Amino acid sequence: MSDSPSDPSASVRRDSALMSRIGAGDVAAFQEVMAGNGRRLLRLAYGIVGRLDEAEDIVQEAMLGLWQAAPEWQARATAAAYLRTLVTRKAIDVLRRRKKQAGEAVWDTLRDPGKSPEEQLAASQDRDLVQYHLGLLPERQRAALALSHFEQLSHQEAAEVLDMKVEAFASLLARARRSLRHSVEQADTHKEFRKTGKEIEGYE
Amino acid sequence: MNDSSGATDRLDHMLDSHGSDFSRWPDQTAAAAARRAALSDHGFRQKLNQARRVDAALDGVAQRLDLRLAESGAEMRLRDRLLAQVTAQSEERRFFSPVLLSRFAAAMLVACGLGVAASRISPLPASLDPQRDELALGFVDLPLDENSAI
Repeated sequence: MSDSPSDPSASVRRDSALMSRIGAGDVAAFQEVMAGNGRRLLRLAYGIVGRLDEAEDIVQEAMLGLWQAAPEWQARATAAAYLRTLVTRKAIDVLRRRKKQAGEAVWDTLRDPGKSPEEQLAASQDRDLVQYHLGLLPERQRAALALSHFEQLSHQEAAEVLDMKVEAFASLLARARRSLRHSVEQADTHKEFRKTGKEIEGYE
Repeated sequence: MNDSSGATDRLDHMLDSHGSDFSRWPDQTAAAAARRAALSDHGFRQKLNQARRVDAALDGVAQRLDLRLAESGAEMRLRDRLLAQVTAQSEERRFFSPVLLSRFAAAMLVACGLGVAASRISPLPASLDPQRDELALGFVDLPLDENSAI
């Protein structure tokens, strides 16, 4: 199931029919929604929380939320948009809870298969750096980046998910990108220091 | 703040809001100004290069997420877990579905209507009408005497 940008109301109507079937206990209709959204939702949740086990739990809760909501479904949005919003908000909640418990960012180790550690280091330096700093961003900034960059949503769509104005979303996203840009800039500065012997002593 | 630094700040903000791909900027006039600034302004060019590295790195992170997801079998696991939970609830939901309940209500209404119509046709109360007993029960339970009938 994918949104049709040309006619969103048609998608809403089509999903409304699907939701009526789910509301009546039609498992096949539910499977249809799962097949159309499962992978994307997992990626979104994983992109925000950085842990696959938590991402699975978040998507499971959201899908069950859809199942529960189906009998009372109001045809205002597509099932995909509803699920995206649920997943994003649940993922932000998970990050907030985690921050209270541990106070630090956690990301699964993501490796490139088929590359030696040296090759991986060279090829993925920026990626590792950005991924590390992504884990340090405040939860709403992470969500903004995931929605905009991983989900490829427009500012308008992403702002609706986070329940904020478009201008506020643009500022949130700008802060997130600026932080990542500064992390790259600082890493370059540190590399420059490392090039000269005296600075290495001073720096390290 | 003079006009020049104001314009640069605006371009910086656009760069951070919309990314380093100028073709995706909603304001193409600003995008054209950014292209010019990239050629003439060393500071902006440096920021643009960093922004490109960040965007490329984010693309890389997205690819890693996809790869990890595909390897992990998370989608199948999730599907199995959800189906196990939902299938158990679906029978109950089907039984109490609005369609079935409305059909049941309609059947009850028809039955009541038939009952009222039958009482209008028959002059005797139902308990004293042997024809109705015969119709409904298939036999007639005649009273043994006059007193026991009531």
